[in-house]
Formats: sequence, C-alpha cells, structure tokens
Amino acid sequence: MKNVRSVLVAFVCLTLLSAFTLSGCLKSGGSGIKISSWGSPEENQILVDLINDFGKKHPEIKVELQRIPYNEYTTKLLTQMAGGLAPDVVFTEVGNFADLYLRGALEPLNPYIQADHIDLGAYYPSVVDRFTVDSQTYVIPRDTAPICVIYYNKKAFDEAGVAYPTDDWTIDQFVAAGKKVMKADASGKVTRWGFIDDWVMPEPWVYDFGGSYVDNVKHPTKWTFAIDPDTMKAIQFRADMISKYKIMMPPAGLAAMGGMGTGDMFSNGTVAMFISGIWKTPTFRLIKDFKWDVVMMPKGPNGFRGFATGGSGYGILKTSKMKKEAWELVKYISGEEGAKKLAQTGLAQPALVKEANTTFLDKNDPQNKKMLLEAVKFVKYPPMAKNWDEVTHSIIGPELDKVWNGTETAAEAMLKLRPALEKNAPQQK
Amino acid sequence: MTSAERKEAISAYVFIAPFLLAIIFMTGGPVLAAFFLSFCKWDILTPIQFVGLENYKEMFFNDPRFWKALYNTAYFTFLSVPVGMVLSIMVAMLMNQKIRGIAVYRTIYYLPSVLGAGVAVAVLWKWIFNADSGLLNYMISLCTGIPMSECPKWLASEFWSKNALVIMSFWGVGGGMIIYLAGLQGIPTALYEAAEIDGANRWQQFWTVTLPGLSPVIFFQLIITIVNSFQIFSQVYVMTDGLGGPADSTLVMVLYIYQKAFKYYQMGYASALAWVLFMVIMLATWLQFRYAKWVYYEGELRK
Repeated sequence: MKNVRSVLVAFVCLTLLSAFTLSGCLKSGGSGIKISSWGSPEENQILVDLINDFGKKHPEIKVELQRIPYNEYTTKLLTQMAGGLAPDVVFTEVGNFADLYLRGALEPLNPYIQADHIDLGAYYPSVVDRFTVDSQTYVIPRDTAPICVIYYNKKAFDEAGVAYPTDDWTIDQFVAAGKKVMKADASGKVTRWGFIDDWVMPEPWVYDFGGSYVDNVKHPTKWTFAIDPDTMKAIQFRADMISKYKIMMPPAGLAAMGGMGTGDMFSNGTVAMFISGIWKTPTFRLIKDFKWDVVMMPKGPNGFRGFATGGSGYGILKTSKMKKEAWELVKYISGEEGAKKLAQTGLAQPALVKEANTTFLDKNDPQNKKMLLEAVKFVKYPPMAKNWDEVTHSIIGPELDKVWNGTETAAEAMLKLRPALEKNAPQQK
Repeated sequence: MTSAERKEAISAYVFIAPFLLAIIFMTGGPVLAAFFLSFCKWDILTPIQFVGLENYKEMFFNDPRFWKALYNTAYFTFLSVPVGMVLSIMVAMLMNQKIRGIAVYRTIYYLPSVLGAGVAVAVLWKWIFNADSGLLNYMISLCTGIPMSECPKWLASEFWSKNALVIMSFWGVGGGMIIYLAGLQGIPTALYEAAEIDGANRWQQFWTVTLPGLSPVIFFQLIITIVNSFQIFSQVYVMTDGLGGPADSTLVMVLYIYQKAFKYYQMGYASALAWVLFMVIMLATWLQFRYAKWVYYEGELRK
C-alpha cells in the first residue's frame, strides 16, 4: 500500500505545481488597457477601426479588444472583476448598465468630464440621464435606440392597396392595415402575416399605452405592472393581435423556428410589419425582393407616446489600474469620430445630436429614419433594480405566456401576478 | 495482504486514478465551495454574506418555481427513462439477430448517439416540433387525417412541451442499445439451449433467461440514465432560449440553477439548488442499490 500512497502524493504535488504556474501566467498581463464589447462582426469592426485610429494618436497606449457574446457579457465581466482580470473600459447598454452600476462596478466620471470640459449637452439629454444617477455620470453614451421603429414592406402595402403609414397614425389604423396586408393560400394557411415583434416584446405597447412597470425607474420601491390599468390594456392588446385581430403569428408557429428569428420573416416577406430598434437596418438593406421603409410606432389610445428604449455607451470599471489611459480611450470612441463611423453603418442613431442630425440622415434606406429625431423625446428606460431581469423573465414572462397562448386574459394574469410581485419588491441593495 | 492482492489493489487504483484525481482536483473544490456558498448570499462582486439556512428555507417554503422545476425534472425522468429503456432493449434484441448486414443496421441505429444531444440536434428537433410546418405534425396529420392545425402545439403548449422533451430523448436509444447488445451477447447460449430442451417458448426464454442475464446491465443503465436525465439541460436551453417556457413548463432543475447563477447572479441560492439536486440524485441512486435484489450476477449464489 505504501507504493500507492507515494504515487498519490506525487500526483498531488504535480497538480498543485501546475496550478501555481498556470495562475502565474494569468496574472502577468501586458502593460496596455483592455476594452470589452459585444456585437455583430460589422458592429465590432467599427470598434476595431476606432481603436486603430486611437493607436495612431496615442502610440503610448496599447489597447486590447475583448469580444464577449452578449448573453455571457455581464457574468463574464463580474467574474473577471472578482478574479482581478477585468478590462478597463466596458461597452454597456441601458440594461446591463443597471447590473454593473448597482454592484458598484463603475467608476464615476464627473471628475474626468469636468477636468476635460466635456460638453454632455452635445448628447441627447434622455440617454445622458439614463447613465446618470444622483447627478453622477457613469457612462458616456454611444447611441440611443427607441424601440418604436416599425419596418414595413412597401410591396405588401401596394398589393393590398393600403396607403403607406405616416408617423401620426393611430392604433386603429395600424390594426386595420395589419388585417389588409395579410395573405393566405388556397387552403387558408397564412402566407403573409400583418405584424410581428423582434422578440416577445410587451414593453413598447405597455409604454405606448401609458402603462408602467415600476413606480420610479431610478429608485424603484414597488412594481406597478400588475396594478396599472393601462399596462393591462396594453398586454391585452398584444394578445388580441394574436387571437382577436389575428394579424400576429401565434406563439405555436414561433416557438420552434429552429434558429430563425422573426427578422428573417420580414426579410423573406412572410410578415409585412416588424417592430424593433433601428439596428435592423444593415440586415434589411440586404433585402432585394421589395422596398421597405420605417414608420413610428402608432400613437397609443390615450394619444400618448412612450417607447421602450435601448442605447449604449462606454464606462470605466472601478477596478481599472490605468484609469487615465482608459478615459482617453472612452473620450475618443464616444466622441465625434465614433459617432460618424456608427452613423454611416446605419446600425444606430448616435447619441451625439449633431451626428444624428447630419451623418445619420444620409440618402440610404430607410428614407423615414428622420422620425427617430422626434421619437427620442418619448423614450422610457427599464427599472434600475437588481432583480429586474428575474422579475421580467421569470415572474412576469411565464405568466404572460399564458396570455399569448390565449389560456388567460390579461386581467386574470395581473391578478395572479400581484402577490408574486409584492413579495419580490424591487431591490437596489 | 499477499503480494498478489497488493498487485491487484495497485492496478485497481491506477485504473480509477484518472477519475479519482479529476474528482479530487477538478470537481472536489467547486463541490465543497458550492456547499459553503449554499449558506451564503453572493452576487460574484459584492462580498460574500453568511445567511445560514435562509436559502434552503426560501427554497422549500417560499419558492414555487423550485417545486415546479423539481416536478418538471421528475416528470421528464419518470417518463423518459423507463420508455427509453424498453425501446433500447427492444432495438438491442432486434440487432442481436444473425442476419446479413446486421453491422450496417447497428451502425444506423447508433448514429444518432454519435451526433449526441448537443446544440445542433436540439435545433433540428425544434424544427421537427414546429406546430405549423414541422415533420412530426406532418406525419401525425398524414397517418390520422387530423389537420395540422389541430395537432399538438408541442414546444408552444404548456401541456405538450415536456412530452416533446421526452420524445426527443429517444434520439439517444442507440447509446443504450449498444450496451444492451453487449449484455445480450454475454448471455451464454447454453442457457437458451437448456431452456429449449425444457420446453420453454420464446416468451418464457425472454423472461427466465434473457432478462435475468441482462439484469446487471439494466441496473447499470438505470442508474446512469436516471442520473443523466435529472441533469437534462442543453436541449431545454437551446429549445426554449434559456427560458424554460412556455409558462415555466420546461423549467428543469439545472436550467433553474443556471438562471439563478448566471442570469440573476444569485450564486448562493444556485449552490443550494445544486446541492438539493445532488441529494435527490443520491437518494434515487441509494434507493436503487437498496432494492437491487432483482439484479442477478453470474456465478453468484442466492440463498
């Protein structure tokens, strides 16, 4: 038995040894700064180009780009921070900004902004405000992305003899148009639907109907989702589009699209109207079979407008050891150069008002993208609560599945949600 | 200990060394860490807070999604394991015939298992289950005359979604088949000859020779497949976009652990969930060993 033990001991020593050398390798990084981001290859290319240009202006600062899939982004950042390997500069959007901010991960930028006399007034106030809590700004915005963009297939409208929609259209006109552009084959199977959202998206309707999720977006104390009558109407409206007006494909068809997104349905003409942010533009520019344009989401039944909104920017992690250099990079990529490059791709509406008013409004499709300059006035942001993701995806979401499937009305779902939402009050700590 | 015994012990240790070392150095640390974390609150970044039994209390008395996940996992296990096992044995017996080209048939039946149950296969099954245009509803409609619009909605239906997962799990019967096939070929032909001389028909031979002879393999497979199906994750993750929908009807335990840990950053709670799952699997395995009297080992004497 003695042999066995010595063999074991040898193994233990070897393993420990290799563990030490490995961790040694990880710790000794280069001298440059690291920036993390996500996005499609096209979106990533913008950043790569910007970093190269930055390198020419600041040859003394080496920049390494770390590209992380969006789904793992925040988890990876938090883990890296805990392990002392985090990047210095982070790309962040309105949702995961709250996750990072609430965990105290972001460096307050006011001192840097003041020292360099950066004029935040040059950006859309709403997006600056999103990234500012208690008068301290944490992120310099890159873009704003109201989810109020209804892409419509002009050919489908022509075929149905429906006039193209205008930005001041109403919900009723929207539903009427949706019904008219539908098409079916001889057996009655629908070959073209009226409308679909980019993913299951109740938020745009909730805000457009004047509804709400929470009492105070930045300092929430209570979920209002299940007690707000306007929210209930909005939820019922999305369900009605499926089962009453029948202009939206039911979940049964969507649940199993095997990797195909609803955006592909717009591209191949099987749906005539599609709601998302402006970011679908580069994808839809590849469409050859028909002309398309965008129109603002219809006005809510109360004559009110409100748009769920994305948007992003760059911040610095508190753990960074090279904050001065990191700030130089943030300043450069979220400044004019960055905004220009972004606007040219059509991917996003720059947060810099000047670039949004000029470069972004080029001759390329969609022709009506100027409506976004107006839409940006009505943006709404998700609540800043640590448990927002869980509440929306794991409490509200599953209950709403039943509403979309038609087994429950919005009113019934709300009633069931009340106790659960009361129990899981918004958490900021 | 004689020198022969010692030799045998050493070779035994050497054989299990890779697994043992992997468990001690790769899994052991995290398992222990998870045990301690299960008594804490931790969101990766802010300092770990000790909270005692709070996570477990919350789970058992205050978390309907935990019970839902446990129910969904048990439903899947208790349906997919027995049916899958019967199918595997049936296919194995068919593949045990001495006919021309049997190797080709065996390969064909084993092929799906080579592809595994990964992401690509899950995407494939998503298409098969598509309610409006999927292969499965097309076949059902073709065979029964029921229009496709009235066929089950599979992944979109609260009732059918779990059954869809069960059906999909039969994709893996080929893996079980190979093991049963090996088991079948290990049963001495002399026993069948003896049974035949005693006048046993095919059915009696199956019950008195095949099944007892196969019982150690069945026992092994039972334990392994139950453990595996309690841990079902990637298929569900891919087919429901990580949500376990609709309406939590496919929220299985590991998916719930994943959501809690990596979507909602509740590492402590997720660790507690993982430990409860571990205990459930341990209990299931212990019960099987405890009531394993039906397993017959060759050369063993029964009193």
